[in-house]
Amino acid sequence: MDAFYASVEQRDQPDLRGKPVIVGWPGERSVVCAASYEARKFGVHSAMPSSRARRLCPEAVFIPPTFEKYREVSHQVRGILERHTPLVEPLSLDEAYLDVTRELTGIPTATETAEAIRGEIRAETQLTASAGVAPNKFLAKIASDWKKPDGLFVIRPHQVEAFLIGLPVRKIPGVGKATEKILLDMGIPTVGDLHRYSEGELVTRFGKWGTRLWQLARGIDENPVQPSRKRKSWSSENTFQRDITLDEVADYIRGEAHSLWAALSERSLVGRTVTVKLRTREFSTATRRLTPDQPPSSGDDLSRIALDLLTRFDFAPESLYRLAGVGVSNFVDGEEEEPTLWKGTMNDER
Amino acid sequence: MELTVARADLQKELQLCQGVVEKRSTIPILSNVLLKAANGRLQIAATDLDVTILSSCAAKITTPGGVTIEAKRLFDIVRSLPDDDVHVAMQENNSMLIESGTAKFHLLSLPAEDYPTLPTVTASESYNVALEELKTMVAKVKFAITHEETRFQLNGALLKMQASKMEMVATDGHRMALINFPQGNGKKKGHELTILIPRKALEEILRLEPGEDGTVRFGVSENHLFFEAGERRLLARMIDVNFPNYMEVIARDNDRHVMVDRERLLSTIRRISLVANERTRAVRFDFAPGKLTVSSTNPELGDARETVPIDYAGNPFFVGLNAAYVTDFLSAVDTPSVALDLKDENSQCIGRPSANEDLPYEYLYVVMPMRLA
Repeated sequence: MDAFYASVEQRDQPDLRGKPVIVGWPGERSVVCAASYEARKFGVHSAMPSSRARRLCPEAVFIPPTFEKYREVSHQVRGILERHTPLVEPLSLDEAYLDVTRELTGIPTATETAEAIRGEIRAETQLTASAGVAPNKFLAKIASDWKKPDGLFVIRPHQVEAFLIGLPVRKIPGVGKATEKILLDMGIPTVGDLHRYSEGELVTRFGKWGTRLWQLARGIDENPVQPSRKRKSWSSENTFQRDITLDEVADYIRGEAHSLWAALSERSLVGRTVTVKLRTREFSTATRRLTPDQPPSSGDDLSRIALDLLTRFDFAPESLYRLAGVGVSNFVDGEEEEPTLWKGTMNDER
Repeated sequence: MELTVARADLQKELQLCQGVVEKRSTIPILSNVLLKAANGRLQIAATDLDVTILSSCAAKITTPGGVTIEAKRLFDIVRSLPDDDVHVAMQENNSMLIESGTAKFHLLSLPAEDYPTLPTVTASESYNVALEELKTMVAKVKFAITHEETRFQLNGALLKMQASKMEMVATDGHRMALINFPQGNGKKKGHELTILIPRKALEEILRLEPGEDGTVRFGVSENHLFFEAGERRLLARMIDVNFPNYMEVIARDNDRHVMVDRERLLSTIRRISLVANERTRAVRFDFAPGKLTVSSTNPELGDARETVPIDYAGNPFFVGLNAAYVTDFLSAVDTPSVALDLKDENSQCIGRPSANEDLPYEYLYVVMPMRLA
């Protein structure tokens, strides 16, 4: 999300639009939580002491943060992301990694998915988001910053090397001031210069981190997108004695939705996302999921949503199914995160 | 290499190395220790390439030399030896003879040259503080370090040396522990310094033993932190400091002050949390004049409650807290009672040792309350 907190405030208070807005307390000891792009033109950025921001941009409007509101918008955006893939790894309230290898709505490419998501976020939240599309998390993160605000940047596999070669080493996640200085002292200002060093040489200099550095310099990052561990789901699925038709699947889903609802209400769980899963006789598996504006409020409601999802599969009409399932996830209470001392992202001390 | 060394001395130094050697390394030699015999001492070193420990003990050296050998195996053998003296001698084909009483071991070893090059200290500037003070700081903040390896900016404790005080702080984002020792006149050496000490190095600091003057000398040498006490030297590769602004989360408007007996509260929370939700470990604290009620409710188990006398005279209020976060703090405090500065169920809770005690340091703990269902 672009200048997330500041953009939310500008959205909700039209008179702030076009003006430099700083989210944060104006006090001596406080720091800037977020700055609108208008304020950034003056050199204001997040984590800067508020007093310094005030000097740089005296006309800026200071707004105290309302994290409840940002969290709410963040949930809304999360819902949009999860329409496209269950593999969403949030980094903070306004940033997330998505693995769209198996996109759920049938969009064929990652770039089109990114554009679709940006469009949905704009339409549904009146906020802008920037996206980076790349073969792995490390490159996607760099790419997402490349065309901010309201931009999209794509690094295709064959472009990785050319992209990395000219990149300053500081752009590598984990390279801070101290490591940057060591690298500069070694005559390594860019990622391309890093290529002159063998993995062994980097390990000797940087320890285990040397291996990671060597890999990142080559665009290698095998870390998978890890959906939040805290999220739980309840589901019921069944492999049938004989393969059944879509009509028979519908009967099964209707019944399962009601028993699932009973199990959930017994535990006072309210799930936002409903998922339906099908596997054909040919072992081709797909899921469809929906996060409606209002979480399902009854067994009938859940069943109606699940049956609607059932019509969204792309299998041939005469297909026979060996497995079907329905699930509920994204619980309203269950996903309560552990309370944190720092709101949003932790500000760098400097 | 040939030498004779007291078993107890060798065992002690090898034990020290166990915390550093890698148990499951992709680089096999990192499971080894490096032994070097010269000038009447047996030097012992271990490294995982990030943290290095160098130590030595007195030995009768017949032939100087060096060798590297699997650390765990050597330690297990040495501590099982029957006699007080251990005779070590290198034989053909890198075979290492260990003799004690009538027990004889021939162990496969590797030449010392195969061991990674160890960092050296060429410090221009260093600090001298009482080792006990440094250890106290480590012991009082260590538990708050994050266990999430990916949050590398929090994977250690921040040490800040300033003209007026030395301060250490650790956090996992949910709670934070902070301690500082005021630095009197003349104690300060060198400039201000801010370093992040990795978790593994903190564990090793706790194992350091003071030399005659009881101090530890430490500083930054090129890209390593070093700590020297007695015969031991600990080195840790520098990590970029990107620690969050920790002063920002210390609430200053917590106007409800509570005093409570530390051990009484600790044992109460341990009892009551037995039925708390295992994931959230949420326990409820209801404060009323003179009385604190600690309770937990778990739909799948039942509930529990207990009251504890407190020194508090204000209006009733409550907070929900992760029991483990509170017991961690209460276990780290030394004073008989603790002071709590609180505001309401949504604001940071602050705990400290009771101000009635004359402590050489200031210690403070901040924890964020949790919303109770």
